[in-house]
Amino acid sequence: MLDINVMQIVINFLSLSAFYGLFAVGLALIFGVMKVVNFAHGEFFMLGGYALWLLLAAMPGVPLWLVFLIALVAGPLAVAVLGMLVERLIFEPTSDNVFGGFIASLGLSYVLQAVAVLCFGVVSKSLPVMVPGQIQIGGGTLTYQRLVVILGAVAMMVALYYFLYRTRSGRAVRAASQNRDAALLQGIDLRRVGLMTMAIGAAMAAVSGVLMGSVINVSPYMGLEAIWKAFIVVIVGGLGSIPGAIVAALLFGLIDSIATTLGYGQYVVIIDTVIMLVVLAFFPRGLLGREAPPLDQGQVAADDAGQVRPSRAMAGVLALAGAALLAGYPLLASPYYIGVGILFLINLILVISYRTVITMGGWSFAHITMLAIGAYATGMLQSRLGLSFWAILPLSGLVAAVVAVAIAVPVMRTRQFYFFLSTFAAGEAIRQCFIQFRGVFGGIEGIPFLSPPEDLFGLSFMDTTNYFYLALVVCVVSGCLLYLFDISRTGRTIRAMSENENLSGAIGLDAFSLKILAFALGAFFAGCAGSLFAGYNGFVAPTDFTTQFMFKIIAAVVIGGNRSFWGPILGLLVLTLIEELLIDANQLIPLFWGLTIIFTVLFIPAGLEGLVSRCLARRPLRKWRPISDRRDRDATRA
Amino acid sequence: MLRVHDLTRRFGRLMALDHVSFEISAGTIHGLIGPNGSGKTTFFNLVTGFLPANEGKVFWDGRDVTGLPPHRISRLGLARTFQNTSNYARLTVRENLVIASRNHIESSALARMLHLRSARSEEARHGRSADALLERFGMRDLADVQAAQLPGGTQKILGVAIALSTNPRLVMLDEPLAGLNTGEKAQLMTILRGLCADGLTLLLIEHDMKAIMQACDRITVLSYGTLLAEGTPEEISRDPATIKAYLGTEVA
Ligand SMILES: Nc1ncnc2c1ncn2[C@@H]1O[C@H](COP(=O)(O)OP(=O)(O)OP(=O)(O)O)[C@@H](O)[C@H]1O
Ligand SMILES: [Mg+2]
Repeated sequence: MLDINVMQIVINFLSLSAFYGLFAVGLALIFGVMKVVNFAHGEFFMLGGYALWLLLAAMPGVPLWLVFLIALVAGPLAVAVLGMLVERLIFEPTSDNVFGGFIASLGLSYVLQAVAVLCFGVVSKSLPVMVPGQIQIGGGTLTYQRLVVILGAVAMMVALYYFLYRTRSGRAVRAASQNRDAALLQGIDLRRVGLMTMAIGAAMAAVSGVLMGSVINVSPYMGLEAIWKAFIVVIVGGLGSIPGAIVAALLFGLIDSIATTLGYGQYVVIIDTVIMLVVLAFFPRGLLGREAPPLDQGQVAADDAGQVRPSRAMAGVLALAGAALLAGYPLLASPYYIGVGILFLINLILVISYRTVITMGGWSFAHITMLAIGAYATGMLQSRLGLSFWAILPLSGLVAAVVAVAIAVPVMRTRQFYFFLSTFAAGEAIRQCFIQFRGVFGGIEGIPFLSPPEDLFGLSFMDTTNYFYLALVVCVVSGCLLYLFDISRTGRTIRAMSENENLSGAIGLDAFSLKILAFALGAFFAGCAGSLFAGYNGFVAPTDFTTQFMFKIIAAVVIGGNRSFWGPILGLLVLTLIEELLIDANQLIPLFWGLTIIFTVLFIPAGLEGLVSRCLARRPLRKWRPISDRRDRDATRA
Repeated sequence: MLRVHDLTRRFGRLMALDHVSFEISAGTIHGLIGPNGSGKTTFFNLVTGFLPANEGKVFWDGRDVTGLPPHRISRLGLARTFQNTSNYARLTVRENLVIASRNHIESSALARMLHLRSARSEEARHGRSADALLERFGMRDLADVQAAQLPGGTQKILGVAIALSTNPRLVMLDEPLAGLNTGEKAQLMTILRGLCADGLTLLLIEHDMKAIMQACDRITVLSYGTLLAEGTPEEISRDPATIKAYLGTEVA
């Protein structure tokens, strides 16, 4: 099979690049102007697809091409209005805290997905081909539908170019993306620019949704699958750089087309991620990322300076009471609720260890991947080497920590969004490895038939109550160790370091190692949790380690707050309660989680923990004190 | 003690530092002056590893330290402050200094991670040294105040105290007097001279000519990235090139 069809590669390259470009350029545009990554961009794309589907259903008998044209206008218009709404309601209020805006957009993404599931069902819709027919060019096949995608992308790029470089409003957009302060001084209305940018970015996502709707199936989760690619493209291109996004879209179009044509299509995710990691290792800001000031420093919010904390004794008493409550829990609960309890404990280890990761200043999206690695390590060590569960439990943690260190080395040089997005991509790639390397990891079925932990002290862990106590012991031990780490000198040093990395270097702190330490430590405990998870389920399946699961962990930390050790625990409690209360209407769960996140970011940015400590302080509202002179500009630049 | 040789740094087409060579001898107060944008802060960033040099070498005690990362430089006993106030805003003044005592640490990494007694008692010791240092700066009663709540001038002084906590032999100060009132300026200069008498070496960037002329043993002048002159305060105050550079900028 050495007869490679070069023409087909070229055709696939063009159509893939067109799609990636169309989708990613909108994301890059929004980032350039608003400095925020819009996680819900994928859902705008999905809504474009549904717009086409709705119009098809509403206009039976109308020629397909006409419906298609109508959809190409109406879909993006509707989504653009939604985009402007999002700008007004979410991004504008959070413009001084871009990371908050990003988290809120993550919540929005889940809300939109849940709404789509409620309105249209989970099942994906396959649409008829809008523009049937194909031509042969030099031995390659080009369907007219793909030709339309390519032409559409080119037309959109030309229109965008014209808008940005030839119109007054476009110049304002460019000015705002270069320097917001200078743009303000020139009298540019940033609010209007923001609205305009969101409208254009959202419309572009919707256009690609309409164009691609009949190429790929329309489903509530199509956005999530597509945004992964868009992230890779904008990271490699350089966040906020439109030429960068186009270059990277061409690059990945080429790579993916070669891989697919040669029959390695299923490895595309893995190949792309490896390329991304390599690029990041050499260009931490992407290929064409604007060279930001080399010493720029993440924002320091001295927001709750002087906040009152619950005293350590009080926290200890509460923790003891909580542990006692959990110890008595199986006596009162039905078997179903004991199962819920076990999963709660596993989640508890996850959120506590996730907070340890966060203290170093980066929100990882790969924490569930660490859980998966722990679970897979357990499965492999048991089925291949026949080790005892008791040896496997810490070993699984160790394996996760080692993998964490391996991906941390390229990823840790990045900051903020880059860190989040690159861990997101790396996590997905590792999950794809589990699915694609069937011989090693068992493919989509995973590793079935794991035996429960061997008896210990005459206790059998087939019994769920005993397993609950096992999980409780592991959870309490992990919790105590991580708590000690949190109050230890190293833990406090890491938190301080994340606040001011320049100063930390100047006083002899090795920020890179400290970050890796926190990251690996978090991964270790997530890996142990994975071992417990596998042992409880009795199997390991890649489908358990979803983005939704990761979202739950992030949501717990956002809702609870991450300043203290107890915030994420509080958040997880709230999420679990929502989950159990809505057990009969479980499509509503992501909706409520998403709404809770958005609400928290907008109205209680310090999380529930902030509320609690405010109540403890018995001060209704702390006096607002201006953050003393722009501390975030701590850089050594003059 | 510190010697730089042909140190060069370009930002795009701009020559921020152009083949600068000079030496700082131990136990002196060395001044680094020059008009705005002449490359003084860039010099600091190159020496302390915050920016890579395009060309040239940095020698510390005869050892080539070019290109080492900042934390390695700091551990060798070379401390710096930042032109803007820089501290850990959420921590108290004492906590700031304790964090900065990292180079004094002797307890094991495990003890520090698990909050064991040896680490705790060491930290308490560092707290006491911090208090002693604060005494010297007349800030003893501010030890438990959060850094963010201090007035700007005091934060600037805290920056100097942080640098001193790192167990340095040479301290590089980037405009420590900027933003201080007259009383604070005099007080800080007295402290700095005292430190120098105790054997510390200082490199001082400053725009306050009077302070610089009074305090320094030697002065180096930069202009547009090139070394313009070097000598004692008397020589510099009479140096025609220096006078022209300063007058030139005032006219412009
Ligand atoms: N990170 C950077 N990127 C680009 N240019 C820079 C950077 N840092 C400094 N420069 C430029 O290099 C030149 C020297 O800057 P530097 O900060 O070293 O001057 P300085 O002598 O400290 O001035 P000042 O007295 O105002 O502090 C300036 O023109 C400045 O704009
Ligand atoms: Mg300067």
